[in-house]
Amino acid sequence: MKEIVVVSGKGGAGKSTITAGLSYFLKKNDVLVDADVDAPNLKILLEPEPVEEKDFYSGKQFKIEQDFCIRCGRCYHECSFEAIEIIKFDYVIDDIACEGCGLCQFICPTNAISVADKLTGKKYISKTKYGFKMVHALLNPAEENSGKLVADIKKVAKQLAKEQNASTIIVDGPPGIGCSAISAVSGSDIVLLVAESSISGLHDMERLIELSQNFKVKRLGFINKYGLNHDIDEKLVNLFESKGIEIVGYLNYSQDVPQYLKKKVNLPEYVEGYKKIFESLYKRIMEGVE
Amino acid sequence: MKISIVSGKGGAGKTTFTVLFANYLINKGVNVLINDLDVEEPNINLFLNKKLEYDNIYTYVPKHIKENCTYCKECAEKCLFKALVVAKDFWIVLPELCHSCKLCEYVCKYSAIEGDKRVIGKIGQSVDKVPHLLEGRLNIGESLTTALIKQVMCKSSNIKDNYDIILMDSPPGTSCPVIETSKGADKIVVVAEDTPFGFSDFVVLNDMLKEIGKDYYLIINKFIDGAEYLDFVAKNNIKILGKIPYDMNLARSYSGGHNMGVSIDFDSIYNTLLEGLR
Repeated sequence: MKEIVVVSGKGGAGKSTITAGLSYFLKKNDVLVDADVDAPNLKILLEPEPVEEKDFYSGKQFKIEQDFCIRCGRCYHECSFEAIEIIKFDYVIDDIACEGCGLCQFICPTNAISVADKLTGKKYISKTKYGFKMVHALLNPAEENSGKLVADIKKVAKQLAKEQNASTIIVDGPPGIGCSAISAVSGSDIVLLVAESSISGLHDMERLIELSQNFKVKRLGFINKYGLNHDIDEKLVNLFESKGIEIVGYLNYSQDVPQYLKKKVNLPEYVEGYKKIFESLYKRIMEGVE
Repeated sequence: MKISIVSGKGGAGKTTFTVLFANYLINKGVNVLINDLDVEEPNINLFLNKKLEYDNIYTYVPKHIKENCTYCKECAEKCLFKALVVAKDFWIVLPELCHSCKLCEYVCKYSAIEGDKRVIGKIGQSVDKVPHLLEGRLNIGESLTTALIKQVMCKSSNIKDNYDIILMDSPPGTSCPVIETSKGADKIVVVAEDTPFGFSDFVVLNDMLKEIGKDYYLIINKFIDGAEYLDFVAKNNIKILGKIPYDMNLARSYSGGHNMGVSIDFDSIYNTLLEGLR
């Protein structure tokens, strides 16, 4: 079983479009993961029907019980995150600013601070319109996406893949190079680095490549919106080559793509030309796995 | 006035809008500071090409005072982030898991932990010619995105009186880092792209901003027909600040980091944003 993670550094480079296109070639027992929990979009193209849903708890929620609080203000002064507010005369924890470290509870002289597990969202196993299953999540508004949820849904997907005897897991990664992206890449076999043909795309890809060097994964390159900027295209090709990263595909810049997306169309499903491109990309990635 | 530019989806056009709007303001003689708060992938300066002077940015990390330690393990047991590993004659902090909360220092009864610092990234500053820029740049492999954003905003606050308008280019998404940049803003401009992906992410962002009690203005970028947005906006009483047409030439000039010529009615955007403040 192999896990392929699609990442780009830059947002809007085309991760979800390309992941959805690749998923068209997955077998019924394979598994897809949407690890961009902040902005999960695969559901728009794949129409998943939930077969299993579970609450996701992450971290701790602290609360000042007003009956026991003597308003000494210690928590207010010592909190590193300025997460304690004074409302009228009460000290209250601002859940959004709270880091969930428990310092306030530890230093409270009257044990007035209670703690509970924090419900941050839901995770789902769903059946997509192509028949394979997809693992995805939904964070509650303004909840922290710490990379824990990413690690968690990847674990669920691995377990599911094992049960179903799957050969492939494809993961749509989050943007950036921080916590969530690190979580998405770690423990995978292959990362598909999707670069956008723009100066921002190039700069972000340089940073992503540097990050990916810290992992024992095979890296493959892909250039999206190819032809938008020839000068950048050349630099991207050189960047990948200089790092020994094989480029396994290109997608030309076209004004048709946003029009297709607007119609919620998965590219290989409706357009013969795109089917060929994605089929060959899928094959090349699988060869990379061998 | 602090204006935060946010979007749920990456690639919706935050940076494009920020750079174009900054140029417009400068031409009007407004004194502008840009904060690049997308610290994982800061791209503003690709368009401004300024010479930035960088300072390292540090965060708190606990340091072990060996001679005082009894290896009682209490610090490790109390750390909710599992950032400390303690065994017999062995004490280590895992910096990538540490949230700099200082709990371990409070927990230790033997004064075996004291505060230290480590670098998480840097802040670049350019104040030569307008617009001035503050850029946060997270070190690669580092995960304390929000901590660095806070530091850039703090630095920006210290010099805010020198400027009429501060434009804050935020990271994508809807969680902590974006909440951080939205909370401190006088006005929020949401840039959303006219695709189903863009709309879905916009709705998530709308819920987040509602949750933290913030109003916003909407810019629809890569505008094709805006159908889903126009419907949502009408139902939820949201103000549309502008529509930027889907334009191949804009995409091309953006891709090269060139001056982007596009017909956006910035006069009306500027006046609308100023309205609520007078």
